[in-house]
Amino acid sequence: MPNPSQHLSEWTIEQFAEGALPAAEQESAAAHLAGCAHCAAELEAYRALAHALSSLPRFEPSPSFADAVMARVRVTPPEPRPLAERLAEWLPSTTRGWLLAVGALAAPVLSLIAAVAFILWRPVASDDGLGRVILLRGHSTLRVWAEEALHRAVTSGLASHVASLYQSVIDVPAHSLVIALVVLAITVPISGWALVRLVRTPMGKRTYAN
Amino acid sequence: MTLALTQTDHDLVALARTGSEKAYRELLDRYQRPVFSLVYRMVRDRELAEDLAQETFIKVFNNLQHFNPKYKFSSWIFKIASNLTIDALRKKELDTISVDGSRNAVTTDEVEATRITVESRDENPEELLEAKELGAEIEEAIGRLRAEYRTAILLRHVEGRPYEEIAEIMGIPLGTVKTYIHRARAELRESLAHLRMEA
Repeated sequence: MPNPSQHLSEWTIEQFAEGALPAAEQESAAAHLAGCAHCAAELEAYRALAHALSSLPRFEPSPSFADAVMARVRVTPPEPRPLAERLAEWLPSTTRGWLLAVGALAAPVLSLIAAVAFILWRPVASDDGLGRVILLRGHSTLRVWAEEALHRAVTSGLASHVASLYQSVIDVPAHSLVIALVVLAITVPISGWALVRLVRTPMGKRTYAN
Repeated sequence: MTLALTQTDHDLVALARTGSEKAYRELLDRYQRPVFSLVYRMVRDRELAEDLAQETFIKVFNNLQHFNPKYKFSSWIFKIASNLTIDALRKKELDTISVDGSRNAVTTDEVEATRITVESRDENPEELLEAKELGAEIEEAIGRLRAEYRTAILLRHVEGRPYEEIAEIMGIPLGTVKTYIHRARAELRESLAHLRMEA
């Protein structure tokens, strides 16, 4: 906020002329300029300089300029690259990238196996069409393994909340689980793909040519 | 194929990437005068300015595949032009200015051949002479500025680029751009104090 008894700084006058001051300062500067001949003259001088500069003409290069440039430009449509090369673009280029990619791909697969195992193990409690078919086709061995794994998890005391979570899940109708599986099957690979792309994206590198 | 004036620079870049020579020529048409003017005002030597401006376009066009559409095409081309020019200035000190022919021209024919052509403006002869004199004084004053101040003030007031874009073009912080422009204006005002300029 400028002091009414002092002149505005050159910087403030320039910023005022360009409308770059915050609203309150702009208003206060306008009030000062209205009553200060010195600052008003400074503003006028600034505007005259800006006007003179913006009125400077543009220079024309020689008439052969464009042709001289085009003679040295490679105007060729990009050649279609071999499939192997395009596929290679999607592969990680570092060990860290490979580890993350394997992790990202394994995550959805393991999630799916766990979810299928859960469904196969679950008692046939629903007469829903698809859910019932899946449940009836479940393999008993897989069911026993899943049951054992869950039993250990619950009884180990490591995760008592797992039991309550399990209970809440078991009450969910079978068709909800099928929907959840479909969603999982779509979203988890997408997240894995996104992760791989993220790892492959160069960080902090501009693509300017110079 | 006709390239509409409404096509953005990014559209033209995309077309050029597919091998359209018309797209390259449209980009040239849009930027050859601004780029050449900036470079010429920086180096103040027509032949060198032509070389540098050509070099700018060749570098830009041959690297279009690497252009990131996140940035403005104008920022990219001005950045390359400004970098090439400042490099050239560092290699060679250039202090003289003439809009009436190359400083290297010796014969009348050479002077005529290298004379700068400016865009015509609808003014009567008296106004034209006055504007030419004022323009020459301003060009002289700009020529005396430090290269960095010169680039910043030309981009701001002649090319009308916003501060943020100038910071991107010059690769310096926004605050530094403002300082350069402020100092350049102060020096210009001092140099041109004897002139009567009207807003």
